[in-house]
Amino acid sequence: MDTPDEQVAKKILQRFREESLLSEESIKKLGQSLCKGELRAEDWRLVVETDRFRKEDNDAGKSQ
Amino acid sequence: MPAKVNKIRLAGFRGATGSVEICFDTTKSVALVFGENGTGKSTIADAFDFVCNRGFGSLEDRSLSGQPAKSHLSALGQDPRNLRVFLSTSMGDFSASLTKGGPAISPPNGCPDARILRRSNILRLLNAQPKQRFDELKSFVTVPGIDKSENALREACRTSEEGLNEAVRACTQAKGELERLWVAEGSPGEDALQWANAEAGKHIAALESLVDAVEGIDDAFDDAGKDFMSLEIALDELSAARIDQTRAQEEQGRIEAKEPKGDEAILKLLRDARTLIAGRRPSDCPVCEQRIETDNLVARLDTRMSEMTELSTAMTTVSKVKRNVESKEVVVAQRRKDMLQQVSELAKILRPCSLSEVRTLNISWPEFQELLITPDVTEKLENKAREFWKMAKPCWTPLRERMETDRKSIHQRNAIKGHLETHTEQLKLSREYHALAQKLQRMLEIVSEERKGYVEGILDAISVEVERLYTALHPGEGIGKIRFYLKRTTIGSLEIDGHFQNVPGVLPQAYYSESHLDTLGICVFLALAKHFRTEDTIVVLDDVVTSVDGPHLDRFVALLHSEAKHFNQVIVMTHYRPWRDRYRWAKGPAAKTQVIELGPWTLQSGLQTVHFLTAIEELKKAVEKREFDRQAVASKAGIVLESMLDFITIRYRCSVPRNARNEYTLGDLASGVDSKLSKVLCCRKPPRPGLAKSDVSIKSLIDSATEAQWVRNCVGCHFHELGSEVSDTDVRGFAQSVLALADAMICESCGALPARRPSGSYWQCTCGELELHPLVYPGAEPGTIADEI
Repeated sequence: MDTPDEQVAKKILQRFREESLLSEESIKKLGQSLCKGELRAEDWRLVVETDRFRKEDNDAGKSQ
Repeated sequence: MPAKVNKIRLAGFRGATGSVEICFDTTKSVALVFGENGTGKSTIADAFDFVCNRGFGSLEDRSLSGQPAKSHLSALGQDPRNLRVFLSTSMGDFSASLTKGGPAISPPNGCPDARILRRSNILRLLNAQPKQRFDELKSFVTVPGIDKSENALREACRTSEEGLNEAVRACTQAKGELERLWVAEGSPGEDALQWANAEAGKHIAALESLVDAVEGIDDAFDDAGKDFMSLEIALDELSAARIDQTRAQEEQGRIEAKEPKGDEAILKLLRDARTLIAGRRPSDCPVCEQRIETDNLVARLDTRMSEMTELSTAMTTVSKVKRNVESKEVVVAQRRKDMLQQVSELAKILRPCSLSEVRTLNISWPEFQELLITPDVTEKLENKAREFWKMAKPCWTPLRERMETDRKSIHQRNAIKGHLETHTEQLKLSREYHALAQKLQRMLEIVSEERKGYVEGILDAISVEVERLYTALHPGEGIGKIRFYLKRTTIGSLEIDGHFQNVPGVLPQAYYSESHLDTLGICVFLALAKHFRTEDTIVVLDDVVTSVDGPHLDRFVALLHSEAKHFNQVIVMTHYRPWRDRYRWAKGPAAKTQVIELGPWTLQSGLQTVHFLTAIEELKKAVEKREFDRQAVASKAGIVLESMLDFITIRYRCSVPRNARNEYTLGDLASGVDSKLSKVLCCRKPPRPGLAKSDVSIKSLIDSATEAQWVRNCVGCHFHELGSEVSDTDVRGFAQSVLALADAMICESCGALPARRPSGSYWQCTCGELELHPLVYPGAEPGTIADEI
């Protein structure tokens, strides 16, 4: 059975997914750290910025 | 396998000055540890906290003058190293000791999860401020991992906002600088940014080269000027040295004129002669070849030289100033060479220069051709150099002015470019930060919503459960509908409200009685423990019921037994004797309850357990005892009979003679069960295998017991001559008839009298197996729930 932290983490990640706030890859990365309380402020920023860079790279690739 | 505690052994722990072992019957759903105040109930609860939760129990709630709780954990005067708590469970055995680092449990994992409720918890929960109340329930309702991640996310939002603010500030500042420069330039074009972009796009390489060239000319002028200066200084110094030399020579001539016997040549000759003669010591004079006396001649030479001291001094001075002049001449020669070199360099730089400041000089370069090659140091060239310097110098200041102006232009352009780059970079950065901050903020909202939603879900579920439990305890009292909720705007703050006399939204702690608050606290605890129970959870209630009236106590006991099925084990400590007596007199499910009685505490013995028996068990034991105590048996049987008749007469509202003290004799109670009731009074016992439920008429049993009630009066209560006439057989017979009545009326399964009314036609025991018919006295109106006393 999921722990309360795991239950809440699942819901949070699902909402991130629904609102397209993060890529699937980043959501997977966040999973365990989120419920274990291991995320630091810079980790949160990193996932968002990594997604942005990835998107920019993809956009640049398409335009070429 | 569900966790069940078989026994707990304490040694040197709190009140357990000796070693004490308390065994638990794991077949019973509730263990009631009864003891009067100071018998060690909290010690047992604290021992559970120590071994199961590594906690310091009730000590954690007390002020200990700044000393740590663990320093008071060992029994009075005993070595903390000898403190032991041993727990034997269905999951294994666990041993706890006290170390410097705190409680040490062996093995460290697998111990049951003991949820311990003390009265202090209830007071804190209900009376505390919302934040403290939240802290009290935090371990139940928080998701610590999510909490930590949420805090980190909040910090990320904060730093991103700061980054955004900083980027916007830098961007605004750069724009402000550009506007200032734009205005200073007369606000050309449409706006400052457009102008700045145009300015930044201009090529300034030529200007920079020009400034570099002018800087080279300036340096050459500077160097040549310095060398001219140095040469002039050297010439002045040489001139002064020559004047000194002339003066010294004149002084020497004056002295020589004053002394006709001596001059520079003679003094020199004397000095040389003295050196030669003193050194070689010849026997004959090397000049006149006459025989000489060396020592005498040396002495004479010394005398003559001493007569020419003034001349000697003048000669030394002349020699010194001469050397000075020679030195200055060398310096002048070097300075001249340097000057020529620098002027030559200057000429070489100016020759190809096309700057107007230079062109307007109209220098006739052929005249200075010699300067343009590596110059020889000649007077002629020096004159040329001086002439050239005079011609060229006028362009130096205008060139410097041009250089400063051009430099300013370059600086301004660089400043524009720098500010423009800053503006562009910070604008980009602020957009990125804005997007980042927005995304993080939205993520924070989601995390916060989900966490709160989870907590509120728990609080809602708990509120519903609390309401159910509380209504069972306080039916029809106009209180309840307890609601726990979080304030939207406050973090870590738990609010509570409820109904009072059906008015909603009141603070229970402001309107409820103390006992109502106690039961509310217990309901909250049970609801929480139930919501978060695991297969390892056992519940320990440490003296949480203080003083409640009979009906509430009965309902509480019934509720506790009903809820006990949700937990592996419920262990209750109480000092409340009416609770313990409920089991003694079969007013509660004694068969499903293990009563553990604590005897008086002493320093020598510590905690002591006393064997508990129900009144029926005690009577049976007394009857079976080989050394038959007829008085005790008669007395006990009489009291049991009284309790049975008391139960029946109250249940059926029988007519019993009143007296001022509201006391009834056994005879009064016996006569209360009249023939009308006796005819219909029966117990319906659980079915035997293969048979239907069997009805047992109570009338004959009551008759049998009450017919012999005089035995109690004669043998068990008073001194009476007739007592001697009563045989042991009669006494035993009286007891047996009372026991037969008790056996018929008390459920074998739960050990309780049928005191509940689940239907409109009969009474029922706690477990529901035994029924007592009818529900009311024949022909009487059905009673109310309040009759369940």
